[in-house]
Amino acid sequence: MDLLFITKVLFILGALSGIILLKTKNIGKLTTVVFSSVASLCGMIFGVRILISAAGSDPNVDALSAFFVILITLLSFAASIYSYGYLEEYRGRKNLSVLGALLNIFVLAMVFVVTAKDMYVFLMAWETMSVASFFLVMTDYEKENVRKAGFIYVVMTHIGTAFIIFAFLLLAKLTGGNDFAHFAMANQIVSSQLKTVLFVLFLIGFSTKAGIVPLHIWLPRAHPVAPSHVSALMSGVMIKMAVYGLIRVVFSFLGTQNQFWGETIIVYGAVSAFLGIMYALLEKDIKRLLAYSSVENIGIIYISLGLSIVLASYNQNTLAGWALIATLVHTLNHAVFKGLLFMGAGAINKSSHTKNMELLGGLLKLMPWTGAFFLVGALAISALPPLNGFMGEWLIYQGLISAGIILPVVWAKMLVIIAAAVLALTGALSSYCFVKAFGMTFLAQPRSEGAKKSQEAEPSMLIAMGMLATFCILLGIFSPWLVQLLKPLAELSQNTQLDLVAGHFVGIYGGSKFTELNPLALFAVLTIGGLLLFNIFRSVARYKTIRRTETWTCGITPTARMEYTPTSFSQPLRIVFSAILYPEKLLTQEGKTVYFPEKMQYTTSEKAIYEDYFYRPLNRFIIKVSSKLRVFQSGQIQLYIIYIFGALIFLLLWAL
Amino acid sequence: MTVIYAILNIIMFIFLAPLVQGLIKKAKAFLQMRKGPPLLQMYADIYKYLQKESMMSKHASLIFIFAPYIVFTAVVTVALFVPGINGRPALTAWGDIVMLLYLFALMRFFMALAGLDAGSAFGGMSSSREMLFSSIIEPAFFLTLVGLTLRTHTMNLEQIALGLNKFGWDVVSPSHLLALVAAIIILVTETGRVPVDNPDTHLEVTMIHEGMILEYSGKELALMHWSAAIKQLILLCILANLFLPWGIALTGFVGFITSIIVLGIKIIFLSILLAVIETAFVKFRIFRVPDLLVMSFILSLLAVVSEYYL
Repeated sequence: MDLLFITKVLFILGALSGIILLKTKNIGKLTTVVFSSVASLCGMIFGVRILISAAGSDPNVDALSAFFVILITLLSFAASIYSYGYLEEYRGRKNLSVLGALLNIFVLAMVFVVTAKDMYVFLMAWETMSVASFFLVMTDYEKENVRKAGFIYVVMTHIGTAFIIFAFLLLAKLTGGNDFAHFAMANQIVSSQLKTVLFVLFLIGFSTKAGIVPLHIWLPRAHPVAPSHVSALMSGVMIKMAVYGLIRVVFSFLGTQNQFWGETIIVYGAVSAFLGIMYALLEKDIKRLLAYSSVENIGIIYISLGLSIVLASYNQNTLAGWALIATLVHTLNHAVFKGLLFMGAGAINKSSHTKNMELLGGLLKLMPWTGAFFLVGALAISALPPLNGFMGEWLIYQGLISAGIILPVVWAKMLVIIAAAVLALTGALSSYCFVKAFGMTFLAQPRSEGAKKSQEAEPSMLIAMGMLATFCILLGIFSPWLVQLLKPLAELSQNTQLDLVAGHFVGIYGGSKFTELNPLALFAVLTIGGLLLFNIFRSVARYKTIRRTETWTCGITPTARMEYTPTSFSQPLRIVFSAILYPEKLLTQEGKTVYFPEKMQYTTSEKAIYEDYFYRPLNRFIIKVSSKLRVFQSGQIQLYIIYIFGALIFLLLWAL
Repeated sequence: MTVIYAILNIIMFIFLAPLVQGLIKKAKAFLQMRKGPPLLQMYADIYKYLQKESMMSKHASLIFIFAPYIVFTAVVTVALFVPGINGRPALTAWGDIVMLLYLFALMRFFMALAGLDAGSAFGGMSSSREMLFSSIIEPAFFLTLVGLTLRTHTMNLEQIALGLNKFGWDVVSPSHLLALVAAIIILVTETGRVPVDNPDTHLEVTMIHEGMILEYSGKELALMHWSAAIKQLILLCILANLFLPWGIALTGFVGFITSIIVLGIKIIFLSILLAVIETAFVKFRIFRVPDLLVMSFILSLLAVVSEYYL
């Protein structure tokens, strides 16, 4: 009875306990949290054990599935501990045991998705994951925006699932079996046109779940309204299930001969990364900002995944393995710091009762630990050294530039270099975005009463956030060891061999050193250097203390209204990129005369171009076709019986 | 030998950076028919700031206190692996293009946060402008250096310098010239000089970098100004050693002295070039600056394309 089985059983017990104990006040919440935490720990140990002992130790679970199990359970461990304190927000309004039970079901479904070995288990687990998360998103169903968000979420995820089901059915028919072992033969059996059809179907299906532009419209609506630990899990883990699916489909089933697949994925990734971070910068709701930032990071993951497919198609297997490992490293890193950021946003929301950054501010003095952890998350997501985000993006950059040198076809080289430039742009823009997110919520003066009355978050929430922040730092410093752990995964792209000198990354090209990075040394230099500098300067300077006074604002007392707000902070972006963002401004003034207005109202909004050019025409088309088809639905039962009878006659004739 | 290079490079980057700042001011003054401040004025300024009391806003937090130290540490870490004297950096073990860009990004992150911390409008304005303009220039900076990588097949800054040096005079090619022009625009942007930002005034119309450090005084202000000067010298050395890669990797004691003289000549030439650009152009209206930055991006993209096709 192996550890994976125990993990699944514990999650089921957690769900059951929540449902059975749903009338209780505290015990139900406690048991669900305990069960999911212990189950997550077991899952983590299981996954790490498989990766350490290299592939082949467990015939059912290979290294890729084990890695994703670690990803899921790491974040669900933190989310479970966090939810113990966070669910207090819903006390009295909602049933806490049921919320805990749903969390257990959600994580269990995700574990089943990544360890599935045949089509039916995969699809059933996928659907359970979607439905469980739908229920969790609709926790506050009394509010209209929550209902709308849930509706769009369930429609989009089912469109994606439909594509995936269709693709799996086609694959099963072509390879004559239902399990993944049969599908792995698709590389040899299926013709290349059909393989491309399958790839397109899988791509659309998985990209809907991943949140690639333009299929991402559910993400910024659903993630903000869900409870924060659920948002952390959805954003950190659930959208990565799509990445798992794509890797499984392309690398294990269909084979990587076609470079156009990789190039398509790179293009979609680059577009999503760019648009995702742009829309994130315009947001003043902190959770919507984080949701759009997830779109950006999924774009980055897609760029790296597409790169590994392109490289594998040109038989550059070593670099393809490097790119695949970079993809997985960034997937893990994003899960950790995005989970941390969402949990921080949840703590802010719980204590100041608002998610609107325009009304926040000055929280660093009131919630110092939350602020410190949020700062670590913001630094990590902006890919600043020496944290984990930088290490992941460094690997991706090296892969892209090496591909720019090695690939034989010029326009493929140009594509890869332009993708690297887009990555540089989005990295800098995400640093802009998180200066805004951190600066507006935690610095300067509070802009509302709710913000002034905030208190530090509960201990369980702080422990969870602290755990993830520590992981951000450790995954950054020890990233070469993480990559070493993931080396068995490079085998997936057919016989690669990565050479990593212990302790730091070294890339070799043509016998000479291409690049080198020692994360531990960088961390040591930055921290020791910083401390040395601090001490030297304090001893050299004449005054050691700092005098505090009021900010100078030309002689008047500064109020919170003099600060920069989120809208004003992103105003330069709105102006410079107005061709993409279509900002619209409306200023209305009221007063006895035009020259002395007494009341002003200023509204800005941005038009989302994909909504105008993609979704609205599509909606109009669907509604037009449906209204034409409405002729068949007359409501008379006699007509429906004639339809059934006619179809039966037709099928009998066809069978003969 | 490596120890000597390490010590000399660290001394040059940290302690000669204010001298380069003084040189640029003297050159600007000469072009404007003034006498200008003394060459060693910045050293006197740093000494003065160290003797003054630090004040901070009561709304600001610990980030305001620690940001100058983080900024200075980051910029000195960059100085450790940028090619300096004779094309050799202080540490030859690691350091590549991506690390250069992202350590500068670390500096900007904390400067921008410090600008927001006091809750004044000047700081917020400067922080928002700085973050946007540096985002737009980032792909240009990256592609300019990648163009050099494609020629020398290495991302390590020292190896790029040595590799380009091997070309001799053949290093001048269409791709290299396009990258050079793009690099000069990047130099002007990243050091915050006219036409992108005015380092001399404290008017809200014209400031980006000066706005973020407006609230600082005392030893923290010394650190912020010094970091800006070191960043300027780093960028000048990158331009001198990577884009004008002659007179580096010389051997022997005579070669060593010659390379120091050549580096000095190159830095003086580039400083005077900066002063000429500052005097010849007016500061652009703030939303005309992205036009200049995008032009730099197009030039660097053309440099990469011409590297592939020519």
